Amino acid sequence: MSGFPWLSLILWMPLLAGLALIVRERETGPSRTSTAWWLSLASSLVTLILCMKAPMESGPSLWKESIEWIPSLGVAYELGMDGMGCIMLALTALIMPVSIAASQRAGYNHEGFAGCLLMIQGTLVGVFTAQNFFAWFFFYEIALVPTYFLVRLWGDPGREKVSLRFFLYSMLGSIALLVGYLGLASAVGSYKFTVLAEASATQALPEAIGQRLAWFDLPVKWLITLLFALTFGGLAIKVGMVPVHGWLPDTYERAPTSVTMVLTGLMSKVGLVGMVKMVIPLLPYVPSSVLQATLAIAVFGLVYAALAAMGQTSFKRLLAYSSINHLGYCLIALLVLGQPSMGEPSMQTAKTFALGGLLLQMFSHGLISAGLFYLTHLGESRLQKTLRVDGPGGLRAIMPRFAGWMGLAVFASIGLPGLSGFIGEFLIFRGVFALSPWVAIGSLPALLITAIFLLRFLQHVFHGKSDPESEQFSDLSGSEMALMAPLFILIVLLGWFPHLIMERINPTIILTIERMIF
Amino acid sequence: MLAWTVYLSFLASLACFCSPASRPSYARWIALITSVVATFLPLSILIFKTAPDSGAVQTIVHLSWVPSLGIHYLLGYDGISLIMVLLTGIAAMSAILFSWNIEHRTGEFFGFLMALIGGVYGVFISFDLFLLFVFYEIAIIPKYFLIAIWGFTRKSYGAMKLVLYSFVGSALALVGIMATFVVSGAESFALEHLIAFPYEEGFQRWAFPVTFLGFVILAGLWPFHTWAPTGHVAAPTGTSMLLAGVVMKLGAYGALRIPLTLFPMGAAMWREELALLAAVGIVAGALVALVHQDFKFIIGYSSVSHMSFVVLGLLATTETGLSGAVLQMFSHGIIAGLLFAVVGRMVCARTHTRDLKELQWMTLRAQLPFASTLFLLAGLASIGLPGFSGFVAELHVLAGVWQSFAWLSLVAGLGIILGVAYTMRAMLTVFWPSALVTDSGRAPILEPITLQEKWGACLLVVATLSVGLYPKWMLDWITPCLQSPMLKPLTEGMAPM
Repeated sequence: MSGFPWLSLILWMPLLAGLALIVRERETGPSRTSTAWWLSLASSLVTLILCMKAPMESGPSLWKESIEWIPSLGVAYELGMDGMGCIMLALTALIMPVSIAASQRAGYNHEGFAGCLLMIQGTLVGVFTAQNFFAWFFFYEIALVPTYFLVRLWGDPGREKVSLRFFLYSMLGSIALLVGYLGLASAVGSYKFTVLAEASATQALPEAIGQRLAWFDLPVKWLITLLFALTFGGLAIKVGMVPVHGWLPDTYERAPTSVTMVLTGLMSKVGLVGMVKMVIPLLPYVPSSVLQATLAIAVFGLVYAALAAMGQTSFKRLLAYSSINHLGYCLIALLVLGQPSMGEPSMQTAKTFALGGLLLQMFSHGLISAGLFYLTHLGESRLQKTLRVDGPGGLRAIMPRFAGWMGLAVFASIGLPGLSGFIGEFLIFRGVFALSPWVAIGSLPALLITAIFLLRFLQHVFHGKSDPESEQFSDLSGSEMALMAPLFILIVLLGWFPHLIMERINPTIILTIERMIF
Repeated sequence: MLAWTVYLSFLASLACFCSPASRPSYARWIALITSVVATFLPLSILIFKTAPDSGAVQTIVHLSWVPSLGIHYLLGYDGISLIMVLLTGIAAMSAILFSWNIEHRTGEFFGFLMALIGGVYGVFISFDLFLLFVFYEIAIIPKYFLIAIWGFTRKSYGAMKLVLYSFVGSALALVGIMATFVVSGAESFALEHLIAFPYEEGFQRWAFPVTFLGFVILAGLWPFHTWAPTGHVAAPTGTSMLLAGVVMKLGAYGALRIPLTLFPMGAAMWREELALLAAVGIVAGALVALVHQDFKFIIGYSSVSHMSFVVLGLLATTETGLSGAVLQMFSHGIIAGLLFAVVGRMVCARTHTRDLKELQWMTLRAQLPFASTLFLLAGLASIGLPGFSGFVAELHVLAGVWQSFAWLSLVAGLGIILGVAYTMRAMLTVFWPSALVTDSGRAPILEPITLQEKWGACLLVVATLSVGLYPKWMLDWITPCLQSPMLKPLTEGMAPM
């Protein structure tokens, strides 16, 4: 489909405008941060219209663009919107304007700050629509730089070490991924994601790897394990899987809250989107023992994260661990797809559930965690200090609206039926249980633990003993609520009508699962 | 037309030497104008010849020079030469702009500088091996004087070390070239004649490593790299920009043109061992840069690490790897120039210290915002951030290496991560020190960045971005050359196993 390059528009407009704002930053004179907000909003509206207009039944991708970029590697500037890209773009469009507005209200009235956020918005569009690895990696890496500076320059005290650790971890992940994917690309002879998927579906992949990647005559099994370790490991750093999550809690805690919204709501999904595109084709060929071991680590990780969240006193840190836990469900859903199904229909159905749950959970976790961090930010702007689990209590009487919204968000995060968090987790467990019962059973305690620590927080902060000095806190204003209203409307709406999302991602899911028939 | 780059540079060199000592600006302007004109020559070919040709060598001049020995004055160019000539032009312009402040024996300084540049141009467009060797030697001499007269701390040691290494390397290369001439029995030193002879396996077995090592000594291959950091640190800024930016490329270019082209079988026999050296160089250079306290040495060792990528790409002997090597030659030429410009001229020359511990007290971000932004850009380019040329180049090298020796790509990947670490360490210590040391009052007042420095820097930034964002324009010139009959035996013999 040719025509107006819509995707390039929503990619480059915020990216270049953000860059311009950063370059033009002045110490004095009127600040132009509201320009940033309007630009972000405009770009988001265009994005949402594109997502709405995407015909649902159509297959692989829409609004395609392709320009020759690096002929020697067979790489083009290729963008396109598939089902997964569609929902992730919608998520970006919903969260970014809220984040920019929140940052301005928090007093970060710097053009540089707003500019960095705008740049992130643009690069995320690139990541979510890239059709080949080069384009994907290009925008993925560029996104790291503004993120680093947001934490480094505007974070809470201790930001120097935290931001550096974030950057080094991220680069470690990127390079592992780069080296690993280059191996895959030299095996299949192309950087396009579709070519890799095709090679996997036709079972040509292991042979290609064995032929093209000679390494001391190592058995193909080992080569595949190596490629899997590099690509999955590299992306897992980005998602914050447990043994490599060291950067995540500190970064989420020290980053300005509006940046944490983006980090958890969107950037952590980048790793998962990458896994769906790059790791899934490899999964059926990963040796079973390696896969089981990885699954065991993932299960351990998500339970560990839930337990760690229970031990936190800072609410932001608690949410960070809870985020690791929630994305852990996505990781197990992804990894169980590697179980051989032998073409059995029931197994295929289970895989459909798992993958559908993964995508829904990604979307819903994006909404919920962004909402939670936004509310945390609003609470902190009243308290003038960090929101703590054991902090001043009894806020419900003083700030009833705040308590109401927070309650909604917390219940969505726990996975209460009727809210979006439930559907994703339900589908994941439905799929995982059929494919690998012990994984599902092993992960169940985490659900319970999550409920415990979140409810404990609600109980104490809203119903506990009130503090005399919190009497003068003002409740949420209309504009503050209007800003987050779209997120919450969707959280509720999706709880009842998940097909709003499902019909957009179904073609992607079916296509992906069909390719893993053996 | 491209031959005029050589003639103009040598003429300008002569003019600078003759320019009156009382009017130093004469020499500056002569050098600058010449280098600008010389840059437009390759640029005009790149722009106006829209469709790249088949990759065949275009002859410019062909005269008999010493007929009895078959030595010809044969200048020509293909896509790769053209890219290297363009790099030389850009590096020369910015090196001259960053040498604007030289007051001591200005005329002679620019005279030597232009002679060096002329020699470099000559190497890149010579297609007679003897002539190439002559230019190669011509380029060595001015380096010595530039460092020994205008250099810093331990300048005579640095200059001597550099020249000795260069001579050892060129002696090895000369042995290889002479042996080739004798064995082939060709009647001339022209590359096209020498290449026609089928060298037997036994000859290639020793001729390849001798010639290859001879050249890559100048590219800073580990363990023959120690001249590079010492020389870079001792040299005045403009010279270290040229040394790291262009002179190290002479070695890599020579290695591609002569041993790899003439002895594809020898390359197949030795490439694994040599590639291992290159991979060790990538990691070793990065490790030294990670712990060094001297700002200039950090950049010097980072050059060693990045140049090892070039050698690794060459030894992958696949089309992707070779394109990566050529791209990395260009890319590193620009980025190393930028790094040395910031570190040498903008920071160390103003603060009179190269010690990271001292520099963090200098409030550089407040006093020199231009320099800190520039170092940020250069650092990001150097760690291979997409959008800058280094990423495209190192991606090609890595992809090429995957096809030839997969496990070395892991080592190279490790090198990139270490690259991130040392660049961040230097950048954060010097320009973004933690809040504890910012308001110390210990910082001297530094003079602001001059206009010439800004122009020189912008030039380099534009160059690296243009390749990083749209590498196609450069690859369109490189790819046909790699597919030409000249390099065919090399890449075909090495098709993925």
